[in-house]
Amino acid sequence: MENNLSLTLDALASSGIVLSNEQKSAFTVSIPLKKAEAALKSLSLFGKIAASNGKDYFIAEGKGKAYYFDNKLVAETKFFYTQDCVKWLDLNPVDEETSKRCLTINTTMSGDPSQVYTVTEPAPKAEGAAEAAAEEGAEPAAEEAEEPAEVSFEYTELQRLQTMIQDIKKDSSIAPKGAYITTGDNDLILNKAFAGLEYPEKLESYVLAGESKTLADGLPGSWSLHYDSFSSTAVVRNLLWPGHAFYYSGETNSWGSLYFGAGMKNTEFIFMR
Amino acid sequence: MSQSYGEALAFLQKTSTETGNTAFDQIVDVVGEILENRSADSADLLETLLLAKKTAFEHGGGPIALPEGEAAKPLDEAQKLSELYLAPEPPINPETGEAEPVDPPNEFETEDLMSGAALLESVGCGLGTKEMYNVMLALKALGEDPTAKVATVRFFGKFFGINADYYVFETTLKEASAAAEEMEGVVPAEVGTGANGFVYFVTTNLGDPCIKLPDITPQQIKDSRYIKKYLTGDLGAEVSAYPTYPGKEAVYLRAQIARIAATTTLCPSGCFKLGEDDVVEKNEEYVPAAASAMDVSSWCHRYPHIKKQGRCTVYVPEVPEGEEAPEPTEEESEVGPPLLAAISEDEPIGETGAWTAVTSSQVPGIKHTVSGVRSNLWPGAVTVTNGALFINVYVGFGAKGTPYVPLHAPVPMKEYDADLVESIEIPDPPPEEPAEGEEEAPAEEE
Repeated sequence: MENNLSLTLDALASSGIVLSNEQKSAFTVSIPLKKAEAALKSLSLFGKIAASNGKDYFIAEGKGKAYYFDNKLVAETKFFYTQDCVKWLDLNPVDEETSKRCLTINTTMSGDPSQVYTVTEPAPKAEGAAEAAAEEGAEPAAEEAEEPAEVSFEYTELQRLQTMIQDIKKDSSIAPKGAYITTGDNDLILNKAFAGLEYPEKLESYVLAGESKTLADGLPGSWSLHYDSFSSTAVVRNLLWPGHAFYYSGETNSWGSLYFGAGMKNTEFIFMR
Repeated sequence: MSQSYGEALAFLQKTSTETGNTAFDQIVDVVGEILENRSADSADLLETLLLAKKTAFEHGGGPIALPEGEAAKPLDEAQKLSELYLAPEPPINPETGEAEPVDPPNEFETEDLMSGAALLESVGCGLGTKEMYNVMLALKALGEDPTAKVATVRFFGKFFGINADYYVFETTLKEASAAAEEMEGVVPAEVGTGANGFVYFVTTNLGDPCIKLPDITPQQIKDSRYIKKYLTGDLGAEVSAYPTYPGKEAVYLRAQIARIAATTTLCPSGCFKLGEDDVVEKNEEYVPAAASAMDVSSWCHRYPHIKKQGRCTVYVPEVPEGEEAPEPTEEESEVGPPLLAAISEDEPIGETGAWTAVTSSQVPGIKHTVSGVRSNLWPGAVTVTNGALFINVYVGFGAKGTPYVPLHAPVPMKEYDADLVESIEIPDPPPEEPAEGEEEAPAEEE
């Protein structure tokens, strides 16, 4: 299920998704190296999150061995990041609370993984909730005080990064309709008999992977599809996540997507469309 | 007999809801195959064929052909693009059958776009070499166009649209355009300078003739600051926004180009200097610095800043003789940054700097690196250099990177002043003269 990076870059260069020569060359070595090192089944470039100091984060998505758990086949998905294009480091999953709070931060990434962000929010009313917050390692404003006005939480840039990726991933894992099928064990696998899309110029032909919803069922107007019937290539740009683009080529029956952006959802979409 | 035959045929031709096939077609296929082979063991073949038919994977067979009109367009576009690679052929006179005389190609100047494209690619920006080559050919076609008569051309960038993308070329013309009529009480547009210092041509398909965008007025620039829109790719499309934008997408695109050009067109500090009368001229004594030594502080703005008024130079209406000059408004008294201002002085966006340095290599000690800066205010704008050559380009959605604050809806109009109304009771119909009312009523119904 690995994306072919060269084909993807070829198709998405016209959408401004370009890797530098150094990055391209480094990835041909470092990605397979990391894949072997981490014993992954597949590892492919997910995208780039721009950082304001110029040291952008590159993200790779790895799929580990699938195993049976609770009578279900579960495939491990892990994300890795690198800033020098060579050393791939693990991104640890974050819990729901963390990701909810991290999403309220709306500054560009600094490029320093150890940068700490503080999120303050009104103190929860119930006492039990305040204890839970204290357990998470945050500092309650004042333990002795009867009613702390607000509590603050500290998150590192890496936690933000992981949150961003989870959030992007949710809205951006596109696949041609019929390209993946579920097995009897609810496992999503590549459909080897997939012969190509009949209507690549229609949003109805693309699904958000893992869901039965097509792109046409989503938020109206949030996708911009350019189809060139001459080269039978469709490029779908995500207007909710500017910088995310997907391509499908009818000629090679290949597809792929990359995200090159600041990692922030376009909350102004409703005004811009 | 013929009736039951018809019924049987109709039955066999029933389309299966699952595969879309009919039994009739299947039988025709199988019988056709047997007759074609005419082998001795036809009976065995029949069995195999049926089995093969049943287990064969019916594949969709890729894209279904588009209707003729739609299919012709991309073919036509590809044809036009391929013509860029050939020497233009003169049109043939249909009467004589000879080539008609054509105007000689226009002489123009341009920068080295392909070397620039290589610089852009080495920092991971731009559009990739393949597309840039087509851009370069389209730029040449525009430069040589005897009707456009451009003196200089530069590839400004690519603007993503929902249905099509714009390629924008920045030109200066050999013949200056005429000044527009000035309107009373309106800040006049700059002619040939400031926000209209360049003429922009756009095309959505490389190979198609470029369309000249209109000059921009200060009001159009001011209004574009209130809105944030995705472009559609159609110059004639309405810009549906609040407050209402005074113009079609061509005007909005031109306004965005003016704003992006003024903010993000850079040059290395010292490359240009201010001559007499504050004219920006080339600095002959400039010695380019090594690209590896350049950072955000090594760049300055090349084009003048657009003021709040929507002009680069503030316009103050002339005061008739003998009258006292009125107090200048806030817009009229704006000073703004000087020409060739350093970009390090640009206002940051919150905690983030307005510019971020980019480099072709993270490996320390590499010689001959390429470096540059990318704009955080207009994501997609980038300027890179290898020391000897520098290039500016914009590839993006044409939207500013700052949070958008929509303008408030206007205050609802006041309801009519009830106190002023003498009576709110509906007056009784006058009791007298009922005959007249009866006459009028049917007349209204008609």
